[in-house]
Amino acid sequence: MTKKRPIAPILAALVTALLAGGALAQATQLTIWVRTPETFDLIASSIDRFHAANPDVRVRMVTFAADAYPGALQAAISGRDLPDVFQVHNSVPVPRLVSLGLIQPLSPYLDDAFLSRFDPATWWEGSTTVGGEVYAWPDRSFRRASLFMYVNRDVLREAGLDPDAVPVTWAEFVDQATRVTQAGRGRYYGLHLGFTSGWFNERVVLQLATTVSEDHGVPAEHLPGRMVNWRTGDPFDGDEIPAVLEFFRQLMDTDAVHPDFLNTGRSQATAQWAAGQAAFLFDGSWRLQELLRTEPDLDFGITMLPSKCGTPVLWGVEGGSQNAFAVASTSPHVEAATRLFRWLTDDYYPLLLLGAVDLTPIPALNADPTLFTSDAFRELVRLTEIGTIVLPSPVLENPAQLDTIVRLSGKAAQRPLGESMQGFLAEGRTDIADFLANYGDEQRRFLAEALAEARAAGAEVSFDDWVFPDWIRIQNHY
Amino acid sequence: MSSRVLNATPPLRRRGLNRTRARRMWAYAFILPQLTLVVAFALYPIAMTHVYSFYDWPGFGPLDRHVGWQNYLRVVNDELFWNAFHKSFVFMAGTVALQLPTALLIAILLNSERLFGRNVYRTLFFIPVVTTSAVIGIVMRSIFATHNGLVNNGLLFVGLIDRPVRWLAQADTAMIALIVVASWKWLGIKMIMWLAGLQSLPVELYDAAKVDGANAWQTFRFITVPLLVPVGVVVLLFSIVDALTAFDLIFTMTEGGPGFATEFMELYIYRYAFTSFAGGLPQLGYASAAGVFFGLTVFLISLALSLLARRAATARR
Repeated sequence: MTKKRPIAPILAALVTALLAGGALAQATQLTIWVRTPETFDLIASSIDRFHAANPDVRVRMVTFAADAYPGALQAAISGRDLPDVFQVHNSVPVPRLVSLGLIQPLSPYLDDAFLSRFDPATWWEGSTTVGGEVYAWPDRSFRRASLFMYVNRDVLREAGLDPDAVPVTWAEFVDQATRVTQAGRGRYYGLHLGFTSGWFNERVVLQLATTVSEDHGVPAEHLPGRMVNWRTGDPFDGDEIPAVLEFFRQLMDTDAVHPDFLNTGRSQATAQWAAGQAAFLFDGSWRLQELLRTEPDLDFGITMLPSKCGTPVLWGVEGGSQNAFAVASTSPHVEAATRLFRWLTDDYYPLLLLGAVDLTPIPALNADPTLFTSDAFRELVRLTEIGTIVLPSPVLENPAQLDTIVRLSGKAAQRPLGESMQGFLAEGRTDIADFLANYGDEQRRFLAEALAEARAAGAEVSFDDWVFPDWIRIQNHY
Repeated sequence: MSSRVLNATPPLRRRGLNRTRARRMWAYAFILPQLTLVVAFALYPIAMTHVYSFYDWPGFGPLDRHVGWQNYLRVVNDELFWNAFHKSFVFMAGTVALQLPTALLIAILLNSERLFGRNVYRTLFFIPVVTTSAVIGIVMRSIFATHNGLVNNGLLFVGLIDRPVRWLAQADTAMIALIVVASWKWLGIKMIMWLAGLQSLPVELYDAAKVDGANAWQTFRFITVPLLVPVGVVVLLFSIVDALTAFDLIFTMTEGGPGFATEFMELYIYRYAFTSFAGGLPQLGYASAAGVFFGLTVFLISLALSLLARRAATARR
């Protein structure tokens, strides 16, 4: 006797699969490129919930290592193959993307009620906004922290030092780091940091240099490689950099810094620090959420980088966003993309705070104490309010300066600062006056050229727009 | 009448001509896919690199800023270009000097029929060749680490040093470490090449030398070495090419550092072409000029070596 096969359920399953496949095929397919590792999981989980609420849109998220992103973006732009949504990088800032016709305005899809929920400086001309049109959605607050010192309290205890008495000045730091190394006898050291990436080295050196005196420039994420003194308009006022190298030489001479710091990447340095190979770690604010997640038992603290003369370590920002998302002009799915932005605003921003990643651009959220679950993150936010300063903006003074900024973004030093600092330290040299003089001259020439080119193109710009005689370094300018 | 004249070719010959033509057509048909790939992925990019080298172009946007020879002028006046150029050849000379004789020595040892387990040794020497360079670079970073690195621990143990050496954090030692690792990585393939050469040498000559009373050194000096010269030139050529295309190993082991101490040409070109090096836009036009300049140098070296190989082969005949 032949056994009867249940044909009906199989047919039903096939029909369902076909229908589901058809529905998927009809759904809007949106590709999004993300380059900030600290937000990968948060955005991915938010997108999952977006799918449930918006079955007509399927979002494919592609993630990139930070160092690989500029190359991928460049290839996509030159191959006219940009994804629907992508994270902007400072190698091709928003105004340049607009001037190349590569992104489309979001203003028609984002009403005033939505925009007014954000800190007004989020919609900053020359960053997220160009010519009054919004072109990019911010992934977090423009008031971003930069580098901090992480303290491994267990190592300090083991070295016989008080984990609550962390060093504030360079002198205290050298003393304490040396004592840790001496106590470690080759097992652990005072300081560790991954000093192999040019951009990171540059930030460490320039930020530490802001503490040498109160008269010089401040580095900023939107003006990489520069240290503008807004009082004089000098794009590279970094006379204090040799003092920073001297500080590092002192640490190296006393073995107070991990012997592999010049050839260790940042992630590896963090892992070694967390494993007890060093008491102090210099790293970005972005490392905090990773430590909270992956090292739940580690007893650590977060504080400012040490300061030469006791003033806070400064980091300059402008309004807008350095990691904003834009929609490619070739994408037919701008409506779906803005729907995703609205979703992320409500669903992902709170995760930024809950996950101890960063502040959001929405003041009401940042004021909600229930979203702050970590003391270390609370401390990070407090320190950010002290050390992260909104800098003056020539574009706000004169919108035509946007052209200068775009042209300036295309000019790179022949000998970059970050890699050169690593080389000088490896060679044990602190006599870098000639190098700095040439570097400064090059930056001044770049600004003069950018202004001249902008003028030649019809923009009414002058160097005066770059000078803010009343600039006070520790005050926000907006 | 005329048609008779036209068809005057004997049928047999005509059939032969048709067959030749058909064979040629088939040959071209078989070559076509390969030719298409070569044109698309080798000749076209090479040609476009030359074109880009005359433009100030970041790799996107319109190709409209023709700058003539300006990129080339910048290249020859750039201190970092010459640093990378110089470092590339130091690295090449180091790896070639270390690899060629070592690989030959090992090949001679492994060619001996009296050696027990020689196939095992051959495999062991070949393993690094098939291991991913990036993995080797990352592992070697730990092995050459100052803190608890295997090399330092070994040297401290045998008493050759009294404090750990910062192998990868000093310009000279970083270069030495790279040369040693790269030579070890590619040793296996060079050994196989030498081995193939050794096994192709005529046995009669060795028998004759034995009859004439030549000792092992004399046999090596006056028979093996002269006969291996053509193979040696090929091994040399491959060693040079390997050394000049060691991007992945160098990128993962030193990232060109410390500073620019191990920044070779490939890394230099990559940084300008694909990264926002020094905070500006990528400079694909400039990187192309550096690539063309360096490519020409490598081409000239390869040409000289090919001539050397031909001369060696002629001398052998």
